[in-house]
Amino acid sequence: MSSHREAPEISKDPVADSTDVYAFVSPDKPDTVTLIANYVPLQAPAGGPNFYEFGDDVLYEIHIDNTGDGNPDVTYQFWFTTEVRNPNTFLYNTGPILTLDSPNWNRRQFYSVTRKDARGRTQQLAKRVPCPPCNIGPLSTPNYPKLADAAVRDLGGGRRVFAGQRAEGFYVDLGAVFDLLDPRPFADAHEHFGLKKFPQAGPGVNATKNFNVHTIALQVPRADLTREGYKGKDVNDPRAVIGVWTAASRQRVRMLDTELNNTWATGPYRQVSRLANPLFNEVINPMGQKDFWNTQTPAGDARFAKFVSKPEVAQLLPGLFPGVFPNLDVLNKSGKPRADLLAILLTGIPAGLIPGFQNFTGQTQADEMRLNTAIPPTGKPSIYGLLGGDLAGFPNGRRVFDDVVAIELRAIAGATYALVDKNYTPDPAAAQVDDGVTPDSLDIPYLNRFPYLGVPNSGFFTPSA
Amino acid sequence: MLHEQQPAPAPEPGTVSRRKLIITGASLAAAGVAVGAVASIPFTANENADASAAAGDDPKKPVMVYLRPGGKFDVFVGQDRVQLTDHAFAARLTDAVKAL
Repeated sequence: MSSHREAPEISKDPVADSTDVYAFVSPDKPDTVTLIANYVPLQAPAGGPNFYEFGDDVLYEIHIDNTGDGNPDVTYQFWFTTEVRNPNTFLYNTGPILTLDSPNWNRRQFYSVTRKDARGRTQQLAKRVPCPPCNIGPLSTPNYPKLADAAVRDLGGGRRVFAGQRAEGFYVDLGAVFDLLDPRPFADAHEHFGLKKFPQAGPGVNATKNFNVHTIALQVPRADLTREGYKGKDVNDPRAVIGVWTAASRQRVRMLDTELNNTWATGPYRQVSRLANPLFNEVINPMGQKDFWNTQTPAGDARFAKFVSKPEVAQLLPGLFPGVFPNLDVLNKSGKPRADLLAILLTGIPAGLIPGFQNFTGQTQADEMRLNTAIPPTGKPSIYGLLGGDLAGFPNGRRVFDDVVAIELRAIAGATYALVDKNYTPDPAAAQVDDGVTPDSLDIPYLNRFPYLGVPNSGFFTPSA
Repeated sequence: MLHEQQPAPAPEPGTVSRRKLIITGASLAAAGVAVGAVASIPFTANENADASAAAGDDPKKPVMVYLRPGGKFDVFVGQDRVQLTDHAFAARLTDAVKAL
């Protein structure tokens, strides 16, 4: 998946598991940028009685690098606190939850938002902001959209925040991708290891359909994020580009204290999860590096560049699809570094490669979601982002509907290598390879307003995800 | 695997309560020893007076001490960590563990 359960250790700690990062110029408020960080993956909507929530013991952060050094210049921190009204019932709610302060809601969660800058200055933007409940069903949460709307907090100055459950917006055919990289639309071309199990091509199946996720969404003026508060329209101005990543951290020591009948944690927070470009830790980094990568900051990502330069998936494709990727095979065997992927994922794309576009942040190699904030939203966006000729889409930031699986798969297959080597001709399949899943596979639509991800699936109406 | 020891009589001054010990690995030298909320840890005032007070006074702000090889301690309290070296205390801990 994008980054759901992408590393061995974090797969056992879903509350702290960063699953997706989105960063885009808000289509309905183009003077602002929306940042979205998702956690707690693959929530079956009916998962009661202890429905999903953020971790009170987890520090959630959204980092912004606007100087290109791989270190945060602006950080938003989110701290959660859970309150139980009545510990003498097992129920999440004892009646319909009609408002965020409903006495029927037994287990509420609140959070604070703090902004830190590179000088260490902190500013609390909000405190005790309520999360909405999970979407349980027509009896418990009869008007869920209203509840969720009430949980959007205006922070002043065009800033807004939301934290709570949303419908999973990321779509992927997991079952096919992780069955030895066998996308159903291309199953007839797959080598199948001689098994010939499924020789027929077919449509993709969205494995994340009907699941929910927990979202932290923040919308702020562009100038809050850019270097020197830049809010101009010059696409080539380096101050227009920001690099975004999210993280989750836990305190270093955790104690299951039988004497106090409590669990407590102490010590400094240590990062256990991070995410910027989708699939980076999932399919670029090898298994032996994944847990370590999750503890690191982007500033040190040069040590992972060799995995980008020679990605394992690119090495596998010619063998898995015999005769389909001959030019990629030659490129692989040439040993040439994948300068296209190094740019897309680690430095940003310099000016001059794509007309009217750049999101280059300098020579420091850092996995960041780079967004050129001077590029306005597209009226008719393409889910294929830059590959679809849409400069406002991934890998220029990422919108909720961007087909990052197809974009990255095609890039890895060689579709973008011609940007850095005019003598290279991508295989025709490189522009087509796909898992066959699009936003059309989702039953719940995205919103055209903040927080953009759809109303979460109801437990009652989605009893089996 | 964490293994918590059974309750034992109160320690003598300057010793370590067995029941406060958590062995975090089969080899003390390799894995170190973590000590939870030990009010009797012989901190000197100038090493970490705040941590010592917190250990005894505030159960919501417990102190965790982790013994590394070489007599080095990581002391965790709140969101902070301090490091110190105390070979004598490390030796007492080692002896206590060996006696288990």
